Amino acid sequence: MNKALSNVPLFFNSDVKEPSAKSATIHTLKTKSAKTQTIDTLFRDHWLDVCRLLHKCYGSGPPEPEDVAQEAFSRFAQMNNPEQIHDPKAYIIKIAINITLKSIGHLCKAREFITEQLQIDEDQVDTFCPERILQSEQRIHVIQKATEQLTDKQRDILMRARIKGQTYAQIAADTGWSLADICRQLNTAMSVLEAIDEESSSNNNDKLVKNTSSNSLASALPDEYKS
Amino acid sequence: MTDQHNENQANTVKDQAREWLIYLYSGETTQKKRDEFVIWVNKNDVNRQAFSQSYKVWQTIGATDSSVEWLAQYAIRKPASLPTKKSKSILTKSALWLSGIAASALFLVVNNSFQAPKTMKVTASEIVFTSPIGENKTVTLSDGTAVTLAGNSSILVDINQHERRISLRKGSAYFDVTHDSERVFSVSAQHTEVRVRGTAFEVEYSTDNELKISVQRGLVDVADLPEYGSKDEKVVQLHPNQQLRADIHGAFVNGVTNFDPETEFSWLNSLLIYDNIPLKNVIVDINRYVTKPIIVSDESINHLPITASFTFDQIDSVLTGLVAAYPIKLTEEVNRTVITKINDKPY
Repeated sequence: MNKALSNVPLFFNSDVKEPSAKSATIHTLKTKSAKTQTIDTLFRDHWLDVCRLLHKCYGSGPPEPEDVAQEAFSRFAQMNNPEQIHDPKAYIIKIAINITLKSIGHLCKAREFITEQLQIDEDQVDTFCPERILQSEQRIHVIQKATEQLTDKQRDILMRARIKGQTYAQIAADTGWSLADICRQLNTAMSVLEAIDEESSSNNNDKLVKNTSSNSLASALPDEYKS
Repeated sequence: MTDQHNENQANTVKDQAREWLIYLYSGETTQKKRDEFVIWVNKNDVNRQAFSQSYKVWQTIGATDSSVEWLAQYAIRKPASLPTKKSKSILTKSALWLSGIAASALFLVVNNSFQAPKTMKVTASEIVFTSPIGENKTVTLSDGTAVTLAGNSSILVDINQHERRISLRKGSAYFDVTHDSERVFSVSAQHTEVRVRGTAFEVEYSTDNELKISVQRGLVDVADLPEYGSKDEKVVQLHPNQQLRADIHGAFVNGVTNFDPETEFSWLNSLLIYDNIPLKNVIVDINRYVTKPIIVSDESINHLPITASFTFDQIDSVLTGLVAAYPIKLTEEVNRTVITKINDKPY
């Protein structure tokens, strides 16, 4: 990953697309300026926290926390509407988590194997339509609520496996819980989440939510969340 | 009674799907079990659908605020530790009387490495090149390096004034690297990195998630990238006509072997040549050049030795020829072609 923490006079300005001469208006220029300023502020406020969090949770790399943080901030900056994100810091951390998880061998192996079997074309995940974004937001909200119903132990094991990227053997070594217990707790946790997700889907009459094809799976989440 | 039966059956399938998902992310999978999963998930749409649902939920967990909250709590719970890199491991071996100095030095390192920079340069230097299914594609990078992508392959290119970094995202790529003594040319995939300065070589995703590196000219260093920086990397140097395989974790498989360059690089001339190569390897290559993917659903024929030579245009007739020559059959489905074994023909 490119380390590019060099001093440049205008932060992010080089990355903001210039409007065409015909479409340039005072409004868009103001919007652009506000966006740049917002991201600049976010960067100054949260850079250190994001690096520290990544270092504490994932170690010194590779990938190095600073590289991951930079990539996460870059992706955030390249979004069309970053100012509309309710909690930008949390969003950036989610991007950083998923960048880090993509470097963990056994997770890559599992993901590649599964996407191959489900015949998901990962190159098409960038083509989002509003309906699919809405669909993913609904699912995120449902799963968020569902995780709150898990016991502390279930949530800890689930997050260690999914977010920390630990193998079950690593979880066992860290916690002292047996492999069988870890599998059992994980199974229960997933069954709770799946049941709530299914209930939510069945309650929703929107046809788009009922579309559960493999192709929609590939597009259901923004690329930043794929891992 | 029937409704009850159907409901029980659906729950059983969901349970199986969840168990498979949990198994696949365990970090301790075997080829045998993965093959069993392939058969299970391809058995019918109900299984596939159930597994897709479990996988959706699994993916979505990473997008929740719960994940960030948990990570923040984990960071608080975890005992504080200073960042260490492999090159600094000597500090841990320092004599006791030096510990005070070492601690001071580390404090400075931490302070510097986590110093919030005043500005951040967002580079747009990363470019993705992707080849279509069915044909090779050759591109010339900004440093003059020529890259030939096999069908359905993709690389991420990041070339700047300090380094030349390529990431193989899928498929296979052949690199004819322009010499540059100032900038190492590196190709990474999974947990393996290939480093050169000026040479010609191929990196390919092979069967069983293995990575295959084949050198045609010059010297190539192949390194396994350690996870979390927890161990020193291992580097193997390859000479022309030497080949090395690495598994998904970067561990080298079976050591360095020699290969026939005419066979190995035949795909550069739109030709596929095999001499006693397992069927599953042949299918991996063929799938880069056919729009409808082919899968082998029977493990017992995965290693069927294939000897053949054909162009990309002849793949259909080759498949027909394989059916005539071997105890296998092709089943055309909507989205794929399935190869299965015919049980009543010994081979």
